[in-house]
Amino acid sequence: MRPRRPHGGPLRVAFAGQTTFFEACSLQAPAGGLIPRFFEFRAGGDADALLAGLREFVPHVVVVYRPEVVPEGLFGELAAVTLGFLSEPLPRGGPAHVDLQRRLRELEEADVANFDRFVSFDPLIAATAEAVLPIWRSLPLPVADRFFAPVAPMGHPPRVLFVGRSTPHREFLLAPAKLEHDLLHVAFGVSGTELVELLHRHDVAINLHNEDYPSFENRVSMHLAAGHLVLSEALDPLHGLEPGIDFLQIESASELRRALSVVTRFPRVHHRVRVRGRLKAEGFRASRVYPRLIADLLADIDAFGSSRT
Amino acid sequence: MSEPLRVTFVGRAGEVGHAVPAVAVDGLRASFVEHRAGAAPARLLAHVAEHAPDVVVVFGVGTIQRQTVRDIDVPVLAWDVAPDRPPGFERHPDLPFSSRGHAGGQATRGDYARVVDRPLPVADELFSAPRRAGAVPRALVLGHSSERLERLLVDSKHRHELLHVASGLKGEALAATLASVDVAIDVRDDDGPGFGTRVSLYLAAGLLLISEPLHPRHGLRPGVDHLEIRSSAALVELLGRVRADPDAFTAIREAGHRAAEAFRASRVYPQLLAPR
Repeated sequence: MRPRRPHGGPLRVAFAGQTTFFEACSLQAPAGGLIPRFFEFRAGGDADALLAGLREFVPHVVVVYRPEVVPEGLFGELAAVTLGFLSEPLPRGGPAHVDLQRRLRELEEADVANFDRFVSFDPLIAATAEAVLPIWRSLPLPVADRFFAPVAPMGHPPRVLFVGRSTPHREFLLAPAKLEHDLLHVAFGVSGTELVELLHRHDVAINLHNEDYPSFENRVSMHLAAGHLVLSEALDPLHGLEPGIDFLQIESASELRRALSVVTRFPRVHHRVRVRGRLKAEGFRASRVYPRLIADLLADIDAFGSSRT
Repeated sequence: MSEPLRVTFVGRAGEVGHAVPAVAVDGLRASFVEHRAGAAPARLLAHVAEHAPDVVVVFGVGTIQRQTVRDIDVPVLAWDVAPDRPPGFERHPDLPFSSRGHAGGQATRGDYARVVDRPLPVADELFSAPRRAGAVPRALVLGHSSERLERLLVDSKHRHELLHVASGLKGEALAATLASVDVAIDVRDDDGPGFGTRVSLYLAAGLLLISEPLHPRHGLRPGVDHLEIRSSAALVELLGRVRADPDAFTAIREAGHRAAEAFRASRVYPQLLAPR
């Protein structure tokens, strides 16, 4: 039996995922009638510990990033509404990169019965995902409120950051920039307060796709929230962002190097882009997105039910 | 009392900065000039003219041009250290390198007064006694990724607390990062023998060093002052043991820290660079 929501009272919402990647996408402080708590859970992680933690928290709603890593039947007896948030790129029809094929195979491992609804971070993968599980709606991964900061004066020289694992595609694009500029590349393992502080010590952020296929990485909105000048490969979908206005689009290694050279010589040249990007980031703010999303989720289940119940 | 030795060090701070004292140490007055391979030498030469060193030490034999060595009127030494670069870097079409080597005129070993083949020293200010950084031991990997490195690390990244910084860490941020971890993992780019450029740094920082077998060992003793691993599974298992009982490895950390004294900058440079 699901815990009843007191009329007008707060909802306890559990967020579960690998901390390194997803804590930054969650709601981390009470907002909009939600009381959040984050639970570490990763592929091959301790499912019993997750379940025990959830039973102690007694959430009304559980949001799981990468629902495909939740073991079969784990939420069968869980008395809460469950929402799976698909966070990985997938093939979009036609020939697909081997990396996307691998991710689709992982998604096929999902136990659909664990969840009441699924959200995809990218509307352009919804059709592919629908072959495995029903997609209720699509929206980009939100950004935790703690990452939001005012646009600060640019350092001299600008402090440049790339947060993301190394892949041949990324290293190819980064190589000339790494040779010519001071560029901090954090490949893995920074999260929480450490990540917030890291972002606040930098002015310019780079976003590159894993491999040579289009996507929209949540680090874009996270860096915009932090007031960074974002240099990114072409984003698809754009989720409302405008290249050249909210961020700078780069197409090649030499363009990235050139863009960094320009901003190093003229640190204020793209100040307006930073300001516009920071404004647009408000659309990703966790305390705005989750209350509406979860209200819609509960209303939808009230109206249309769930195959899980 | 003799004058301190004035030394100008040349290289990239993100790769070799930990080998250059940022504060005055006995017998040595150091200055550092950031210089990347292929860059014009004007800034380097201006720095040398301003600081008037007794000797110049260049990290990486091919970092500067042959003519630049000749343009410096004090002895120029090279410290033979491999640049920390991702695989394929030398073949990148947008970089001033090619399969034949540098774009042209880079110095070779014969151009220097001397070439030093030793582990990188560690700046005195980076020495720190072993101590627990947090409740759950956290491991650090510094250096560019490679297919081989990722094969060794991937399981540990998903099962343990592991921070991987690929490039650009230096100065205070480097010191703060070293202070935030308990374990350092040193993995080579290829299957050949070697002694990582940051091995001495990790020991000086008081970290538990987990490394592939070192060759040459430069006086270090596996099982005594550091631990060896030869596979991804061994690394996962070892990190699990460290996590379960961090204090069981304190003696190894302390022995490693003592061994690092052999790499202390204020000891190495005056001995090595003083006029004979």
